[in-house]
Amino acid sequence: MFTALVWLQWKSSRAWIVAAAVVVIALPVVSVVREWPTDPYAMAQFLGRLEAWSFFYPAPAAAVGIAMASLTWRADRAGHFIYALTLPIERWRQVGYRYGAGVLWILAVSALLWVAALVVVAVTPVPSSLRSYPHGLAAKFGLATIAVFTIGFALLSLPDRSRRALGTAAAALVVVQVVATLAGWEANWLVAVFEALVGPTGPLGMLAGRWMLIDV
Amino acid sequence: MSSLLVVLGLLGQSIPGRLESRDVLARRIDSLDHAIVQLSAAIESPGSRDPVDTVEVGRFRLTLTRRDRERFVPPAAAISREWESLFGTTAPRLYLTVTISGWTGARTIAVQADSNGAVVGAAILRWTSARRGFREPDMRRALWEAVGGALLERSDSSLRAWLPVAPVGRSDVFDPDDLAYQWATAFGPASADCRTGNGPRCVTALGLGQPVDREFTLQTRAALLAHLLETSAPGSWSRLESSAGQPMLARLAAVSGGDPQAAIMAWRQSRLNRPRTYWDDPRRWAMAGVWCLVALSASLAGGMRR
Repeated sequence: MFTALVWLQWKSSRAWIVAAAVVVIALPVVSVVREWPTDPYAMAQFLGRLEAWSFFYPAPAAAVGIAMASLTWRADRAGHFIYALTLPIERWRQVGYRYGAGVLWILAVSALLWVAALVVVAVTPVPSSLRSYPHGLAAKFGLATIAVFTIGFALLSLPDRSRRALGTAAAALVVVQVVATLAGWEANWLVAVFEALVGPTGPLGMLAGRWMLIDV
Repeated sequence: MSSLLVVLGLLGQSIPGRLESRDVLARRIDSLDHAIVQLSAAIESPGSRDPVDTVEVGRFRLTLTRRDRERFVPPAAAISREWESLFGTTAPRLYLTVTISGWTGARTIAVQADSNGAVVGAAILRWTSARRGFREPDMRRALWEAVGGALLERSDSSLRAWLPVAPVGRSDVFDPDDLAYQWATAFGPASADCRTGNGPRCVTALGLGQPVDREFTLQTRAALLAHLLETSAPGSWSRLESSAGQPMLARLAAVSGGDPQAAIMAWRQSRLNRPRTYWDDPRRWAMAGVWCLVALSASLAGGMRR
């Protein structure tokens, strides 16, 4: 059954998987090989440009994580889980298979990034003063995508009522923040919530931090 | 951080022919920054509403509002001890005034070398957010930056030619990440040899040999001097002052009290021993794993319910 769910996941989200694969192969090539300075004295500017490029890594990680999470549940949710619950398998096991199928494709995309990063580092004459991070970058991409996927997977597997309550709470927070800003209050809850989400201890913290393939 | 790196990247073009112009540019930026802070320190009055206190802290006399007293006195006391250590028994007295900016709530710190003299050092301590408040490291850095102006004021022309910034307090000098960036991106034969452990080539790359060929940026040189001042016996700055007129390498020997090349190599080793956690915070990885487990457990326990 797991194999069937893996292929179901591929059928539903292949466009995203292929797009992510193209992006993660292109990013190291474009950011390092294309930008590599012909003038060795310009290494500082190269690192500045590479840092600008590095902001493009978390974007596909977040996009793929969200897309995979929503596509995982789309068919079951459309059928109100009736077909899924008639299958002769425990509920938790089926949820686990669904999750595993999504993670497997994320790992495949991360593996492509890893290979691309290794090749790029191998063909680039990185000076000894700089360090390259092909393993760390691919692992970070994988974990960041899995983190987004897992949070989305959990939220989208919630009952309708709970999801609506969460959505209402989030919308209320935005409205209250807008009112507070218009009233001239200094409180900024949205920033606090954002920091809690992507800070070092937050569930989406892997999206922040450094994403440099070559760094000091 | 990223903008700082870009700015430092532009400053850090390690082409030997352009080194002098880069240092001049950095000196001008530093001087302009210094002048702006001095101006703002001069036009703002301490504590428009709160009562103002004058507190004796070691060799410092602080003028500040009563509300700031508890926050500023402990870090000022710590810096005063370091100040005394730089000079031995002859540490000069400094007058520090902490003023509040009316617009941002930031604190401006101005330093005078004597009670009636001009402002010789200044710094702005920004109010980052009400939730965080003034953080101890930021306060120490700002106080050092202000006090560092007094050191720069006392430095002679040959020292200023080698190091046109104060060897203390500047955040871009002592941010370990930026320093690592400066260290790693300095390009040239001498700095490359230095990184592999060639002591005489380190001397060349730092602009301490003949001919003068500075491959490392002034931030790197400032960090080296700060390291020597901090790790040498008390009175290190006094020894630097009293050795005026000698070559810079001999002056660094006077500061360290021994072989300057050995001191430089020890400093180089501290650069190389920098942990790899800079690239990413291990907490992020651990917490991402924990959150994934929590979310997956919730899904397994309650997934597929209408």
